Amino acid sequence: MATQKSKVSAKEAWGVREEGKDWKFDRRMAAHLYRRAGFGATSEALDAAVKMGMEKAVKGILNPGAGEGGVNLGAFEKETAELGAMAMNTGNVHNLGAWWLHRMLGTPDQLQEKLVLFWHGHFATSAAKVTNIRMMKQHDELLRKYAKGSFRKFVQAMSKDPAMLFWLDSTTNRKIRPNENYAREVMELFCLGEGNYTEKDIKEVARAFTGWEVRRKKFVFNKRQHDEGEKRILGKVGNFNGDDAVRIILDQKAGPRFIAKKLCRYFVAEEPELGDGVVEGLAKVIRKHDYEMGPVMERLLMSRVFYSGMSVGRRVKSPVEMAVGLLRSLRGSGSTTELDRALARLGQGLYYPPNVKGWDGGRTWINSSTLRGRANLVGKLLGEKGARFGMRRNRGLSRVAAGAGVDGAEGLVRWVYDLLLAVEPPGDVTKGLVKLAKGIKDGDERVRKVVHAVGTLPEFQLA
Amino acid sequence: MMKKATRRAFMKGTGGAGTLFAMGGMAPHFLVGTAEAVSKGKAAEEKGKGDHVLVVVQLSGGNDGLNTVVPVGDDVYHKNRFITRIRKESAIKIDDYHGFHPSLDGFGKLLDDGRLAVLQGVGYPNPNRSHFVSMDIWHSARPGASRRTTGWLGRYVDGTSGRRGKRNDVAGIHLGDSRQPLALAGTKVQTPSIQSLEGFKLHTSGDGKLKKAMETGAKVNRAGGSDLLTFMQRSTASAMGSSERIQEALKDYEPAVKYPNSRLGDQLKTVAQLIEAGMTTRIYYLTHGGFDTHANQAQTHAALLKQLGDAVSAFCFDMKKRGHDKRVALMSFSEFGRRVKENASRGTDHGAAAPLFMAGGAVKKGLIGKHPSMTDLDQGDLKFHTDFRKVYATVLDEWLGYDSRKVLGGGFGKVKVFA
Amino acid sequence: MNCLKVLGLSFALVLGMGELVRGDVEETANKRSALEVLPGSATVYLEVKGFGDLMKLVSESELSKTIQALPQFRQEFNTKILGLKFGLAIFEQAVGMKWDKAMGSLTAGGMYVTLDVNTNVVCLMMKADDGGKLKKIRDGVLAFIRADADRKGNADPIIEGKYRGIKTYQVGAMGFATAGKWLLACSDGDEGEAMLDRLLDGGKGSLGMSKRYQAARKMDGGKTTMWGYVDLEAVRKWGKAEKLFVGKTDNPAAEMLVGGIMGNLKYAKYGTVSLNADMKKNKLTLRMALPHNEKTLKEREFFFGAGGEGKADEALAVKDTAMTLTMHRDTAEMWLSAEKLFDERVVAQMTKSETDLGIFFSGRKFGAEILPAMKPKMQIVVSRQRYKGLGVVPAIKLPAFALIARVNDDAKKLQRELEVGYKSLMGLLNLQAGMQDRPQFDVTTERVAGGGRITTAEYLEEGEGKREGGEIYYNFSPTMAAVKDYVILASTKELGRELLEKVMKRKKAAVSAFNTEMRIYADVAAAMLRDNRNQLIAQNQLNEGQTKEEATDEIDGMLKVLEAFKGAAIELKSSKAMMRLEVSASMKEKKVGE
Repeated sequence: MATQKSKVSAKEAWGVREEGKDWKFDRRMAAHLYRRAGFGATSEALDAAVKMGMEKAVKGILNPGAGEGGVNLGAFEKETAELGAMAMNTGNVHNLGAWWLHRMLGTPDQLQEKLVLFWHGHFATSAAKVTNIRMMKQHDELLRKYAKGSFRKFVQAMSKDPAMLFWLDSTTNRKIRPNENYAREVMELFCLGEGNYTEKDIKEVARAFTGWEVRRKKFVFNKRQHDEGEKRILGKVGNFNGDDAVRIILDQKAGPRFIAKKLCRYFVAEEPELGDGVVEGLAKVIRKHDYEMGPVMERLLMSRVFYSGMSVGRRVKSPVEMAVGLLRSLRGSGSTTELDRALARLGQGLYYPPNVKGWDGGRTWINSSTLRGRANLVGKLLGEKGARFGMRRNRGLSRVAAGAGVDGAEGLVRWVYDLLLAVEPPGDVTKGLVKLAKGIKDGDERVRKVVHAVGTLPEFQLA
Repeated sequence: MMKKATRRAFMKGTGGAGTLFAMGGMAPHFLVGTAEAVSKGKAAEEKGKGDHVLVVVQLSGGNDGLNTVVPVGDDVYHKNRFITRIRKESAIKIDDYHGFHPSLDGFGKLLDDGRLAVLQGVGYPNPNRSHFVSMDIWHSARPGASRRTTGWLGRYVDGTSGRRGKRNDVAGIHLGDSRQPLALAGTKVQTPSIQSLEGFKLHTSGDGKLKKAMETGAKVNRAGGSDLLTFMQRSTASAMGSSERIQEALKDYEPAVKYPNSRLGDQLKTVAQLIEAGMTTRIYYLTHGGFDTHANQAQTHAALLKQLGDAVSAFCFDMKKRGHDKRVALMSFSEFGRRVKENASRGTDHGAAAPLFMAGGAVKKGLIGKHPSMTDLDQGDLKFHTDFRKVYATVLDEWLGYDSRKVLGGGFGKVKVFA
Repeated sequence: MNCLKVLGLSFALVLGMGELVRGDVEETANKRSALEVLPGSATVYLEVKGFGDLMKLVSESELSKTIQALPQFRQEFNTKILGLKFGLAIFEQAVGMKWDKAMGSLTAGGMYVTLDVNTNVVCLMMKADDGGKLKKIRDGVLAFIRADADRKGNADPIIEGKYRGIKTYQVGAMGFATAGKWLLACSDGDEGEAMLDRLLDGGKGSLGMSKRYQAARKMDGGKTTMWGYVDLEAVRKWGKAEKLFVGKTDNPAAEMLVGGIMGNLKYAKYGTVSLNADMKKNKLTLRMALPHNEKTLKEREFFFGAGGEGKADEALAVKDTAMTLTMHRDTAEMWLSAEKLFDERVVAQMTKSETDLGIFFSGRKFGAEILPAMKPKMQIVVSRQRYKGLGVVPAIKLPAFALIARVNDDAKKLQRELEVGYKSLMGLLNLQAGMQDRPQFDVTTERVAGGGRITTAEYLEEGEGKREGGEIYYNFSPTMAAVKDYVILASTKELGRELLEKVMKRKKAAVSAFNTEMRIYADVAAAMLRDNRNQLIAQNQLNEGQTKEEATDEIDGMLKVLEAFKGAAIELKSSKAMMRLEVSASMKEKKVGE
């Protein structure tokens, strides 16, 4: 594919991609967009996107009023809120994971869920330590509130989140002996990255956060413990409190660069990662919009580099993306509690990030054990008794394919490629799949086996 | 004999036409290429320590070392353990001073066969008597740290992640529930937790055609593809390959010895099967729990030691019969030992130094180091003389062939535990 | 002229004799009972006397209609039922009668089946109400089979024959014959002929003559809708059903509940099984009986009591009881025989738990010291919670349950010791409360009239006023009560108190007629589920991936089915000679005008 080879210079990287001789917003590009900005899309959605063009499609992602198949966002939110409350009642965080998967599968606002997943990894807080389900839910709601919004407000609110403070052993911070845990992490993990602050800065930021406590699972500002003295943080001097400290930290040049690098790795390319020059371009965008994620994402999703060979197929699908993407593109649904368990076994337990750094992604998802697990999960999702493909009960995979206008064995294989793959497999592989398809009489089984086989291809693991 | 059968299977899989992979057909050129490369790699690995395996059996709860390797020849022991002591007549004799707990006839057999090393007095300075802290210390090899996020084996696996080669079997496997032990936690590589051999099967719902399509999909060379794609293709092919290998090996598998009917026995049997199937996994980690015997110690301890001794000896003799015993070593440790003086509930409380066991065909048999003094104690507990990091260093340098200083953050000297 | 006359006379004679013979056959046949005809080597025998009733139950009862209306049912069985209906329509056409009338007619005198597991031979007999109707049905079916084969272009699949004057038909593997009101069928030619012999000559080698059968009939030969007999010794010899005869369960809980039955199955020579559909009482009862064996009585003395005569206490019931279970079990004996009953792993586990439990009993051994001080009677009660007067009502409403045991008369001190152990446990839970995000328990002991003591652990409340939607742990207020020789361990204060009062009122521990008695009250069980309807629907959505409508339909359907029941019971009666297990379910009566 021509796109695979296409490169973009740092200067041109973030300009809006325009249709022309060497690039068209076709089904493959639309699939790439929906795969990265959300969790995949159905064949009909791809057709609709191609029709409306790239810019409208991106705008539609950022403002999903009426979703696909007429699912109204408001109605969906109401229903999932009820479901969430019931999941909370059980006290079992794994049910929350199942609830989140339910959201990912059905929500019209795909970018929201993708960003929440991104931020969940960024502000990695694990229920293994934060065992109280209400605290985790509150943390989750914080992620949802600011996912597409102001990162500044996000960090300030996160600095007061009981779950986060409990997770980082920062539930008390005394004047006489400031607790440096949160101060270190907010700079190292959340805003600047290593090397962009000194140990002294950590001590001073810790002083700014004195008096910030969690009592009885709620955030409390203990004035008596707050150090009212002058602090020197990253070159600025004054009687700073926690909110001020966050402001100063995010004002650093390293801030937007740090976030840009993460966004590039998560949404654009993991291997090879985008060069510093290109990343700096996105950092400029973040600075320009003062950390407002909405406009930044819009720029990213319309950019030349996003649709170039530097991005397409340059990421490894995380277990969640792999499974949810498979189901969504085929209008599928199944047991989300089972899926949550299976994804944990593949290394991505929702609400249970392995450590403070979240999930590294890229090649770390892949080893012989997880590859087998992924292949088996694909088979299970397709063949499981409760699995449903199509809008009403008993609709079946063959009808989903027929509804999308699929005709013949080659047509079927191409259709599956469009939905699930970022990179075209070699001709011999395609031949083998067509042969497989031709040899199966039953419609449902034919689609199922082809999807299963495609789901075990190396290409399938690439986003 | 079983050994020959698997060698034959290996020959099939490592050269030319008729490989395990090709189903009823000739192997196309590009497949032969990959297969040859694999066989070359294997030959290189077999020469050095590249194929040594370490099986770790963690005894959780604080095993009472004094009642495991019993100083039956010491009156002080008998005086302090009036009710819970092991009498000289019932102990399995090691020498005039030492004896094994009567349930450890498995260890006795291993010792007689020259396959067991008992390192005495293992511990670390400023012993911590909390289960969680002490276990974390043993796992991370960082007694002084305030925050421990990685384990010694995790660091080893991270350090060797570049050397995985074409086969790419997971470097370490934890057999047990889904919570990964800290010892295996690394920053780069994930070690899976597997409950049973089911986790190694690639399900194709018995459809041969589907299987063939999957295999073609994985094996075809991705010429001109990105590095990431090439990595993905190789990993997929290798994953399918090892799944095949294991299924093949399991088909003909007949246990060479009888494993005891216990969870530990089952798990060690699984490890034996995986080793036999030719997995290039280096580390297998198992836990055997319940050793926190504060009250009514006698029966529980006896039952647990019986399970340990029987399972470990079955495993070692199995490895011996299959010819793997020179490259497989089993290490068993506990987070601390127990107090010299028994308590009032016919049990014992948390202590410090304890023995560590190393089993296999390559170990230096017998007792290594003297038994800690029964009178010169540290707050009522035995004093250690061998820092556990020495043992780790020896294992890393001499057994796994990796620079221990990188893992332990310094040199700790060695212990002569391998022959 | 003479030859012709002789021929003609002989002919007439033969014809005449033929008539005579035929009439005889019918009379003889009609007089025979199935037991005189079926083979004595049968391993399994089943007789169905009320086939019509059973059919009515399946097709017309309320329960059946409710089940058929369930969406899951329709999804699973729709195609199969359509196929069945189609088949029946064809049958009706061929036979000229409605299928249920035809079946009713065919089986009016009973249906009898035997199976021999060693030879795989099946024998079947049906007695019709009228020989003529039987013939009509037979001819209709035969004609249909022939016509069908003809249509498909196949040869006539029916092989006709004659045996001792009786017409025989063979279709596929089965051979049929009719004689009088009897329809006989057999999957083996030789056996079929032997059956006809017995029909004509008498029951030598018949089932009725089998000693084992006779013993079984004597033990428990009921007048039920369906009754069966199994030659267990033969099944054991057959060797392919080993799992049934293992004689042990590797699970102490299962051993407690059904160990005795498993043990009996291992040794009993024969057993009986029956199913009775009582249309008046709307009750369906499944019964199984096994003779006791010395070995069983000895091995499982803890279960059946000395000489098999162990009887449970009468069940205690409180308001809103969902289930009661009362048993005679000597748990101390069971613990002692652990090595004989369970495999090494379970025994090792039991040893370990004994050590662990020692913490609560100041080092005393649970199995060796505590259990022997208890009487071999225990009860479990499960009831629905109402949450009256509580500060926090949990979102998920769990039932309250209690265990009721009795201490030996010489071990009254044990009650106090158990109370202390229980308080230690509550203390331990309180220490863990902070780590597990629970409030702490407030533990109080109260003395009650009659020398009783009740200790409750209630959650300390934070706020004021009633709160709904509380955490799941608000379902518990663990309570321990002791009075007379009773020890009550309940999950809630309310249940504990209710049971205490009931026990105090009791004059003397009334004895149940059964060794084990369990009763389920469907109304209450359904109400308990209804209390959690929204939660069940949400859980269904997450667990099964269904939409809200689909989940609602499924849950509501299940509730409807449950509400069609009145209750269920499991009763195990044991005497020196035998044990009898009855499992029954009763349905609600149809309301007038519904």
